[in-house]
Amino acid sequence: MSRSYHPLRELPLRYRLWLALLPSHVRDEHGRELRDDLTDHTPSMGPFVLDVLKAAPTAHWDVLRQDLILAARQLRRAPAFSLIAGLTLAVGIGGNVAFFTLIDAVLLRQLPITSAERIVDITEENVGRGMLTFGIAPANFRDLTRDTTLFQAAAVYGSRSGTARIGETLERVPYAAVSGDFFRVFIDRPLAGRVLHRADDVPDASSIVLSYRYWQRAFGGDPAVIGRSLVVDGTPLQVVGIMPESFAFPTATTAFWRPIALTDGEWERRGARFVSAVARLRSGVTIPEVAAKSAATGRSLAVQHPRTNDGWSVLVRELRDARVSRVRTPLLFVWAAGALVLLIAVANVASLFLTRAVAREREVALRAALGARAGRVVRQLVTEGLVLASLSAAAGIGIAYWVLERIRPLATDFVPRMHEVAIGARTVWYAVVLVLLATALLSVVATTPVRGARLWDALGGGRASPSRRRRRLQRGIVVAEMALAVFVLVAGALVVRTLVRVLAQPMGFDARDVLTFRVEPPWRVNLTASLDTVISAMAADRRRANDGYAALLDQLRAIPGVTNAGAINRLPLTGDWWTTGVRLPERPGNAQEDRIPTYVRPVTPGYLEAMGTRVLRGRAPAATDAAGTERVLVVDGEFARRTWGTADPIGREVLFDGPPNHPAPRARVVGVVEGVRMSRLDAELRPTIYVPFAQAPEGHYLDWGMDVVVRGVTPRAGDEIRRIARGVFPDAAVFRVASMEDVVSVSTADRRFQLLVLGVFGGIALVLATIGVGGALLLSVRERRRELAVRVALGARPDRLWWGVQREGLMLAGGGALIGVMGAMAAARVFSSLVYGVSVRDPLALAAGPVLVIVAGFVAAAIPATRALQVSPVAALRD
Amino acid sequence: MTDDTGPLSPTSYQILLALAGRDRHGYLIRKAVEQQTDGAMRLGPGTLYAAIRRLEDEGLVEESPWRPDADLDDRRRRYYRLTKSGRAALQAETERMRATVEFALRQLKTRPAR
Repeated sequence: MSRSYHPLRELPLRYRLWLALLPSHVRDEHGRELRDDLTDHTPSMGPFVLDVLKAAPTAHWDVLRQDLILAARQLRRAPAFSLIAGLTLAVGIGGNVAFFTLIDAVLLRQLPITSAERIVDITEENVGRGMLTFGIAPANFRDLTRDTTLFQAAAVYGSRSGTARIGETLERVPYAAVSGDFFRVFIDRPLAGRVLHRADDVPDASSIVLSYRYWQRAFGGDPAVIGRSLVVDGTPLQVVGIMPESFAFPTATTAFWRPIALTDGEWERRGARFVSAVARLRSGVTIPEVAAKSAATGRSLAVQHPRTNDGWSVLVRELRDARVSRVRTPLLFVWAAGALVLLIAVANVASLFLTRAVAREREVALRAALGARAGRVVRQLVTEGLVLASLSAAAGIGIAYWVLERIRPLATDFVPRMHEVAIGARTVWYAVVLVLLATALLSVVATTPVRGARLWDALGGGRASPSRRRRRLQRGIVVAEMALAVFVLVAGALVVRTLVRVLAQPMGFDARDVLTFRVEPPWRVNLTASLDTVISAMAADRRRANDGYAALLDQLRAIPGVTNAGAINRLPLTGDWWTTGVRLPERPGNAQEDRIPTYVRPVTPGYLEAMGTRVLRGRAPAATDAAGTERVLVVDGEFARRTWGTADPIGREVLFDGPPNHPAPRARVVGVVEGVRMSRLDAELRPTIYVPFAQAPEGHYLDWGMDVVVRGVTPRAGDEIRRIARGVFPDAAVFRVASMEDVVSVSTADRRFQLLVLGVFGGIALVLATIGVGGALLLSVRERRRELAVRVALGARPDRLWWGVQREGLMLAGGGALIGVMGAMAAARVFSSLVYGVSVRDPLALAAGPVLVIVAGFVAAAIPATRALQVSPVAALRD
Repeated sequence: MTDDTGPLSPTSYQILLALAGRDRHGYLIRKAVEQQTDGAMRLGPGTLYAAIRRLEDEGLVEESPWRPDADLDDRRRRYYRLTKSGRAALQAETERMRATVEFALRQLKTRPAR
């Protein structure tokens, strides 16, 4: 010990410094001999240093080996203790490692794309109208990326899907339509063949590059596929190359890349933000620099083209950030919750160590008295912590693997890059860091009694006076555990409240007993043809589609049990399918403020009935609303309220956008229906109008695909439905067969994921904190058993004793609850990302944590309180 | 601690050997080792005391109450002696070495150098 006399102090500093490399107990126990030796036979520095350097590692290894053996024996000797402490740590480490692995793969690690750090995503957004990261208009893209001192290459792309025919199978596949420089932005080399070039991006372009996954899945990895053709939406496309497995952009499911082939007219468009954009920066150009310059360009575009660009701003982000921006906060949140739980676990184990330290106090003191220096004892305790933490971490990695496999199906619905999530070397390193941190924390706590160094107190006078310091420390730990548990529980309660709220609000439809699937006929209108040809071609396709869907719905309605069936071009909760908006005859101008942003949804007769969307006034679209008859529409309550206030909407007119130089088509309102949350359940209601499918060209996304809803059947009827659909549309893909309840469920996957994680973590935190309180009180009872025994002997009332212990437990839990609630209140800003429609200071959520913790404290105190009554005066006093 | 007489490191062997004939203190052990090995093994103080520590922990060596004549005795010194298992370990290691040497000699005899 440094405080006591040490013979080595008498040596010159040059010897002492080097001798410090030897284990302390060698120095301590042979200090006198070393001093004498070195004083009597002063060696020269060279050989002396060499000798110490040679001896030190072996000596340290000897100590470590002994301590490891001792630690293993110690753990075996108290299996219950080891199991509880080990499991606690393993669960804490496992949860934490699982979420680190997730975050590492999704947020931290760079995309597996060549020099991805120099690729940016460029998007426009209109914050005022709530259109965030909305896409970009081609003309704006050109103006923004014109500066070649900033950009090496830039490209637009769109995520699309098409019906691919391979042999007799039709399959709906997602693909990307990309402009000429796409593969100059992404410079990954193809696995075989070539990438797409500018020369490919022409009208009637037919070259495609396959993704590795699709090549494997659809072609069995046949290298001879290059040069062959793949029929997509009825058009044969030529395979010219295959990309490597690592290249997964825009998504992991992208089947192939084909030229986007925008027309000159489309490149001129400034108001329609229908493509996405990426660009490669020149080396030496930083992202903030580009972001600032692009924002400035965006502002000047807004001045030059107020009609299309007013209110819009430009956002430039690193590609990785753009891809994961939506999940960043929720993921960091669950990781933070995991970190808190780990902290609780470590605190708990530290508290257990402390409890045991009391039991071992005499043993330690005895060893000290017999010559073992405190340093040696501390080292032994640290090694024991290290062994325990390492074993727990090994189990923790197993737990993490298990957790990830459970999370994967749920998270895949909303977390990008899930396929990259796997336990690997970085996970193990992270676990090693956790082990070291946990060991450090454990060691500091567990060695407190030893470092207190009042060894003689413990042996002699200590018989009656327990270490106040250790008791305070343990209480502090328990209160902190309780506070952390409350914090996590409040977060969980907020998510529960939000989810309940989101699911309980009127959705505008009745999801029970509704089956839905999508039909996508492969007909495409050739937009490059002359306007008249396009219009007549579209009219022909419309007739074909109309007749087809009418026949399909008739056959579906004939299935036993089916009460109604209908179709809509885009089903609610399947994506944010915005449309550009409509105008009113009173304000027919083309200015931005004259347009009412609206979801325009073509529907067949029977759709609103099948979905269970209630008609508030007037009627729903009917079979009589055919092509050639008066054009009608149905608005939702939100559209009516925002447009006409409280006035009756029935009979009013709305203007749509017609073909250029044609009079704007107008339609008359014949009904008002309840509002439906189209894009997300946890978003504002947006104005929506329904137009009869037979009449309106509006609201289509250049396809004739429809989501069909059938009321009265379960997904088990899927095969029959497929057969019927194939009969009507032999060349169409039929996909996404699901119950409407599943659609709702998938749309809330992110919140259910948060709920699951916070719920599990909250539960673990609560259990751990309960064990913590129980442990501390047990120790307190054990320490006070003499006092208790005296009181029992003097005839104290048992209920008084019992409540005495209970009060102690409630004080600990109450203190923790108070701190936890204050913490949760202070963290309101962090919590705001978790909630929707519920206040972050929701009293019910804020109360849930403390109530649970106080109940837990009460339960935890029951065992020690009961034990207090069983103290045998004779046994206690004999001790 | 060790009942098994696994191979001893050369340092441990020489220290045990130095204590086989008589009890010695640290410095005398170093001198004896130097003599036993014709100066080939010179133990520095670091190596020596770390090794003694290990041998003590392993139960092969212990502190000895023995002291030489009062006038010769350096009273400050701690003397060490072999324990029972220390002697057994030394014995076993020596046997092992003798077996090795005998084997080596036989090999050299059967295949004389050309």
